[in-house]
Amino acid sequence: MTIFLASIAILGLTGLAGALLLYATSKRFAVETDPREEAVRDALPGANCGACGLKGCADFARECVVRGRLDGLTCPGAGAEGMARIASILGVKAESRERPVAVLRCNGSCEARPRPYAYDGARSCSIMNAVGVGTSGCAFGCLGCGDCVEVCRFDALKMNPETGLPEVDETKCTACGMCVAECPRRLFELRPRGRRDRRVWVACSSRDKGAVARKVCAAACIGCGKCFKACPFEAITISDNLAYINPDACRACGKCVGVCPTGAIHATFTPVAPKQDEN
Amino acid sequence: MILSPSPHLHTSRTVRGTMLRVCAALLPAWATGLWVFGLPVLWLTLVCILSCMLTEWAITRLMLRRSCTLGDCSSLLTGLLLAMNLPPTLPLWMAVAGSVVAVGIAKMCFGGLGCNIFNPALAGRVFLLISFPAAMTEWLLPDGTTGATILGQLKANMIAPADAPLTGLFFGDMAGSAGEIGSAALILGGIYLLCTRIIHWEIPCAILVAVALMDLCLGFPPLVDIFSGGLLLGAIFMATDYTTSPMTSRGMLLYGAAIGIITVCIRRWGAYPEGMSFAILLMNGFTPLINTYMRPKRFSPKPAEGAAK
Amino acid sequence: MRTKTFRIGGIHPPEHKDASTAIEWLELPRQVILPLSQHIGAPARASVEKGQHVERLQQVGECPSFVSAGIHTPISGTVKAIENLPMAGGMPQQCIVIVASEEDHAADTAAYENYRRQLEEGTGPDIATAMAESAENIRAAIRDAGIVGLGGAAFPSHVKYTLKADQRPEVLIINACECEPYLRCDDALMQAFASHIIGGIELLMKAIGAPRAVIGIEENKPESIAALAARIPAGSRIEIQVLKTKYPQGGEKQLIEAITGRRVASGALPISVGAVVANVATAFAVREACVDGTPLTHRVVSVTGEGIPAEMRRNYMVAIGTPLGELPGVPADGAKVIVGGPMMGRTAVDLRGPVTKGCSGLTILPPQTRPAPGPCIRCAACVSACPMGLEPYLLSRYGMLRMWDEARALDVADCLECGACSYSCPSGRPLLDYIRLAKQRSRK
Repeated sequence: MTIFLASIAILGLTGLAGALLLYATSKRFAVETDPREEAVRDALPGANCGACGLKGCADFARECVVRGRLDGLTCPGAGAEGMARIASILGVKAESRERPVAVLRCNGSCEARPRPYAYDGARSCSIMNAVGVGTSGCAFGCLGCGDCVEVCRFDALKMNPETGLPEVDETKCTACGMCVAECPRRLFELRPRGRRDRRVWVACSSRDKGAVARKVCAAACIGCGKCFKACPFEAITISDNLAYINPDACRACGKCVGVCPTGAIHATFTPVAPKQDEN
Repeated sequence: MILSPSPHLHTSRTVRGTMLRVCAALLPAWATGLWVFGLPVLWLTLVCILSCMLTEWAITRLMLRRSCTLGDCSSLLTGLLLAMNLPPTLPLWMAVAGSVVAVGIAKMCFGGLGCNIFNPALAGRVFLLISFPAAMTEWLLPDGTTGATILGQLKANMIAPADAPLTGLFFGDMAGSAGEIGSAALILGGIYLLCTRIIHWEIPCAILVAVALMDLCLGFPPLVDIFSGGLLLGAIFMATDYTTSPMTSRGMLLYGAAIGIITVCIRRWGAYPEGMSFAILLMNGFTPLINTYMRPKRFSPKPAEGAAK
Repeated sequence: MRTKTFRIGGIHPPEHKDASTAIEWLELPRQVILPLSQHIGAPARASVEKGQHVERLQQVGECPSFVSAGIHTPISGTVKAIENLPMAGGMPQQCIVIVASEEDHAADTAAYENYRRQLEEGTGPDIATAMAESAENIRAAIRDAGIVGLGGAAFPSHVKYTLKADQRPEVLIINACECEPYLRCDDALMQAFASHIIGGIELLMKAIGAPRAVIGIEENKPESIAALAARIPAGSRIEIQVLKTKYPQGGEKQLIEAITGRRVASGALPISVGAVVANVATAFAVREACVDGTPLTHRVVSVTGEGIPAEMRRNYMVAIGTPLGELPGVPADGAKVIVGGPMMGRTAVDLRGPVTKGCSGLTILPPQTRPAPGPCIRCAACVSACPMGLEPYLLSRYGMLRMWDEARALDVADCLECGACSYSCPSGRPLLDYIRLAKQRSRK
């Protein structure tokens, strides 16, 4: 019996001594932190995506507290609500800015764009892009290995096996810009969400001449200029055989979507069918 | 047309081929054991190999639901090595338990081939040695009776080191596990592995040199140490296991030398007569550290301004 | 003499040097596609217009800056277009397309035949006049001929051979290793035109002011060694150093170490250890430019590999700009066509792409798929194979996990992309694929 008590006593005392030692060290060597820093960190998504331009969420929180202001500091992941919360922690006013969304500027699904070449190597868009044109003949289009899906920290990108293209989940996209930076062909663009989520964009990046682009992809922008003519707001420019819709000028009327002969212009809504005009 | 990054040529060497060649190199020593101790060696080997392979199959297919990895033949090699490390008279259910620990815990728990920290066969053996010390130290003598190994006799001061029968040790006329008694056959296998460049010379050489030097310092006949116990088996086949040994030449030399020194220390001053398994497992644990600090020598000297920073 | 070699790493892939070493002269093509960027540096600027008639050997692309190379046309004809066309890898590039009429073609063929006869019989102009020129003039002739390093890197030669005032070259190293398996274009060139090559080396020595030259050549080319040895004049400061057959013996840093025993630091140029390196085919082109005035419009190209029958594995003298698909023996599909050797070459998917200055050969392999990668068993084969003393298994893992900083800390920038690691991996892991990615992304 005594041996039990003795061992309990010895172990208990050792444990107590250790606990005291730990407590003393933690007090003695404690690092002073602003409690607001922790509060800010809790308000952040914690993905460490680096979209703010700093090394990670902890860095961002420290920077916020050190500056005491929010000008120039934005966490795309936290969104407007998150930034408002951070602003209230810091006791400043949040500047409200609309959060954009990533769109893919390629439309070359497996159906529209045949894949005549086989690829034999490590599955990564960057690696494939350094080796050559990819599995389709298009030197500008999506390579389909999903590097963007891999770098997205918010689970907002998914590869669609049917089209072979990534799809953006706009409810999850925080416009952190990781996919924009990662895509070796720069196929993602951050565009304003638009009023009532109505937005229109050219889902193609091919600067090939129309005939060449058409040959490798049935859904390519051929730079024909029909959208340019159809646009009532002069939002569309065409350079290098490629149309671009200026999001600031676009009113999302959807007229260009209907006139595009290859279906390269995408919209988040169903546009009104164009009237059968003279030609 | 095919788009593909360079290089476009690949060596004909494969993981499976390497494993099978190591198995082939083990065969002479195994045959020596079979010849000396008879059929128990065969049953033990079959049980070990089958239970190792079954364990891997069950874990990959039934638990992880991945594709079967038996094709790389690594569990075949683990089973063979384990069998060659056990007393031939060991109850077969113990051999099964050792195999399950070797493959199931030492290898698959860490992530399978290439991810394990400790040599699976040795982990299995040491598990058995600690769990069933009596059964694991009862050795069959060539004449059919049981007794202690040469190292056991030395430990118990039953014979003097100078009286150890060297020729008998060299040709397998002693008690021991099936794999460790045939020194001549083990050396033959080692030469084959060195010539086919499957193992690097650094590890076995460093072990042998370290053991010999330690013994000379302690006034013990080095050849008795080298030809007895699992030293050759360990130096040639176990310490050279790719996954658990260092990646660079300098690292391998350090690793081998440390194994040699620890082995002699255990044999001379430790409680166990045999120290190779523990020495290798200990150094397995140090391998990541060795890899971190013993980088290969770079070709290019660093530019001057980089050094000045 | 003792054969030398580099000390760290290296592999011995099967050589497959079974192509014939004769050089066949292909008929001039009716149409050439001349990319404006066949070299490292700024792309050339087209100096002709669409519809303009050009003469054979005329310059059609000029250097916009110092680090660039001019482009010349191998055929007379009309400029059909200046537009983006796909290269062998499928990526488009600005090209000048020139089409020959029947008369153009007939006149060119006669002139080309004449040039060939002169070369083969050695009856062309003498080297003495060219040797009498100043170093500066030789370099100008090299620049005007649009010569680039013909070993594959295609760095503009006149840039490489213009040394700063404080740079003293001690030795000119001629790279005749041809360490890539399969390829035999340099071997063929040395056997056919050894004396021209020696002449080119002398001109290069004069151009850079090197006191001596060493030809580094692997021991698997005894005929070439004999041919060169026989043409080196008595009292010449050119010597031959036979090297062990080991890949990558022809890597610039490896070659310099093998011959001089000195190692070039990371990121430094060979001149930092007193060496200048030139490919043997470059030396030949230099002689042709300086003595004959022929710009770089032709080169020897090997067409070889298991993907084509043994009798079709040959070397051709080809006009630069010829579409790859027009070379004899190149299959239209069903094979892996590699521009360059099998270790460092790049696969071609579009055979309309032209032969460029840096194209040393086409290696045609069966459409073998690469081995399916298994887990890394940490066998250290890649560490032993790496000629730069790197840790490919780690670098490739860092590349896979996008850990660029860690890769940079382990000297990924030193990787010369020779492929020895991927070659030697028994698990068939795509080591170099990811190392290349890490190298590219960790560059800051």
